[in-house]
Amino acid sequence: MNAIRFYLGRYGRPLLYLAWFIALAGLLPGGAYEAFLRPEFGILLGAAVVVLLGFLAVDMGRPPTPPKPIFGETIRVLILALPLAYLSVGRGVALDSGAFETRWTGPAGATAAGAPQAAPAAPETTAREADLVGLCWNSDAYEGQTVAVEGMLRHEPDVAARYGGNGWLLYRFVISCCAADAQPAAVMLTGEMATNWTDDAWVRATGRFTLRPDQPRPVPILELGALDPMQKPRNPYLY
Amino acid sequence: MNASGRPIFTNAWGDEILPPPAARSIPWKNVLIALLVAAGWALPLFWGDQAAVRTFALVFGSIVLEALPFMLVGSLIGGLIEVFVSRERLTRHLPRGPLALTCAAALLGLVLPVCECAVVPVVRRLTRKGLPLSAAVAYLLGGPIVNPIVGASTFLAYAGEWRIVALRLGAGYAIAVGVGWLMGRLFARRPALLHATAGEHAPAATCGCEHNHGHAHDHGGGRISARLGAALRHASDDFTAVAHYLILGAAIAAFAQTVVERRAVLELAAIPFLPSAAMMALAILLNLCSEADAFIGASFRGLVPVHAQMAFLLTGPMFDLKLLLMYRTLFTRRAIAALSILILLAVSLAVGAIELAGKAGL
Repeated sequence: MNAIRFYLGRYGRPLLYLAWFIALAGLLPGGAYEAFLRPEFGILLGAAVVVLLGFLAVDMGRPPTPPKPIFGETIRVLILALPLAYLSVGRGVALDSGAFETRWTGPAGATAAGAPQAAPAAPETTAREADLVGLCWNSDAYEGQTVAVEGMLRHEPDVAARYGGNGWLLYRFVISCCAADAQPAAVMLTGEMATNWTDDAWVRATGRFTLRPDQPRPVPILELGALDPMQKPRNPYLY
Repeated sequence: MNASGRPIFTNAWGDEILPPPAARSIPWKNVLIALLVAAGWALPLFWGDQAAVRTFALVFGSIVLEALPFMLVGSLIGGLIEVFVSRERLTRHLPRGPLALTCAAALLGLVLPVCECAVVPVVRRLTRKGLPLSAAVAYLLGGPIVNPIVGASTFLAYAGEWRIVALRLGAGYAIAVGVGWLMGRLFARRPALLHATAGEHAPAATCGCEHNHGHAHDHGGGRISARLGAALRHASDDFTAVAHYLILGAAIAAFAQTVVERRAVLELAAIPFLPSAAMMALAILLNLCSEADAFIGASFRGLVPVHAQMAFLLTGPMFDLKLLLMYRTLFTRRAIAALSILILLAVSLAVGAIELAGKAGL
């Protein structure tokens, strides 16, 4: 027991810092951390790696600590290392309709928020490239235009019951800082759709974008012209 | 029975023996903690392919990764304060009167703009250097709101609505000063800070600065490299002392984010008198960073009234599940209870005043 206490006290923290250092350094190349955080956080993670290296260095050269209760210290080390196990699981995951279910608060377009950018009028024959952030949060700039937008499908029969439409939404998660604060930006789809679409299928939708007045917020609607399947993008989030 | 009426214990051969030791009580608290930690490890190892576990892993990992750099930087600042700022220098530069000191401390976020995770280790060190309780609480609560990054993020999230930014920062400042001052009065005669109750002999990790004790001390002299090393050691101690609470809070928050539907909160908010309470509960459950929570608050525009959005924006940076756990590294349980009640009361009063002002057309 004394040996465990000695080794835990002497090497527990350095090993913990080493594990965290390896995990964070492993997330940096290729932007793997973007599964969790917005890209700008790479600098902060880099700084964290440097500080962890500093902690590791000073803890390796630290004189032996006084003995601590073995149970408490073991639990503390296990808790501090716990996120490492979850980081490996969450690394290849993206938020999907499960998260949509808990985070969506209803269809919403924003027209009165700030001063929307006036958009050049696009000819009806050419679809203007758009993203769901623009359509939902700067709706005025796209109203009445034919747009092409990418996102995931989500079937919401309640929406169809209240607003009409075909019951499908086109959505994508928008991250402010990290996946924990990501919220869905969604437009309601109207028009004919095949019956074999499934939740979370990635599609490129083309159609006419309109805003339906509603309380408390206007509802963004895409009158479908075309709906094509597409590959999941490397980064599924918008910022 | 013997002569004194006590039972006689014998072994299998009938020899009289000493009574067996009294049955030791099972440490249920430890058993529960061990089971929870074991479950926490078992989930990703054995059920990592389940959709709910993967979403939980993503959210949990995100919260920890987002907070970790700020936490490390906060610990580093705390370590630097410990080594490079002497108690005398700190007190020399502080305002003299307790109210003036509390008012000034609530504005410290303007020069040290850190979020609520990073502020805890900084306050730990500042209190050990002699910062009074009222000022420590004022900085703890005001720092994560009254700072330029939070002001800018709120401005962006609310698409340039200065009124919301001013309301958030102004009310946050008033609450920080009020609660800080009240905590100072309530705990004028009884200890609220943990290091004060542990006294000068509290066991702590070695700082490696020639003396193996945990109490506050100055590192006035020595080479700069040695002092930097000591600062890093203090920072490392602070990080491990606080970070496990952050991780536990993040796990609870990730669980809440995985199961609690925001539409349910909206339904609750539709009941008269409940919008603010529902939004405060949401802030406590979501455990969002104060530098990002404005974007979530803004997503409730039009769905709940402004005062309820303000309840969300004011509560989160001062009081949520992870902070409740992290405060355990700073305060006694009695002080945490008092602080929690005061924060919730103060936020309720502030949002009530905002609601009344709104109805009066101000």
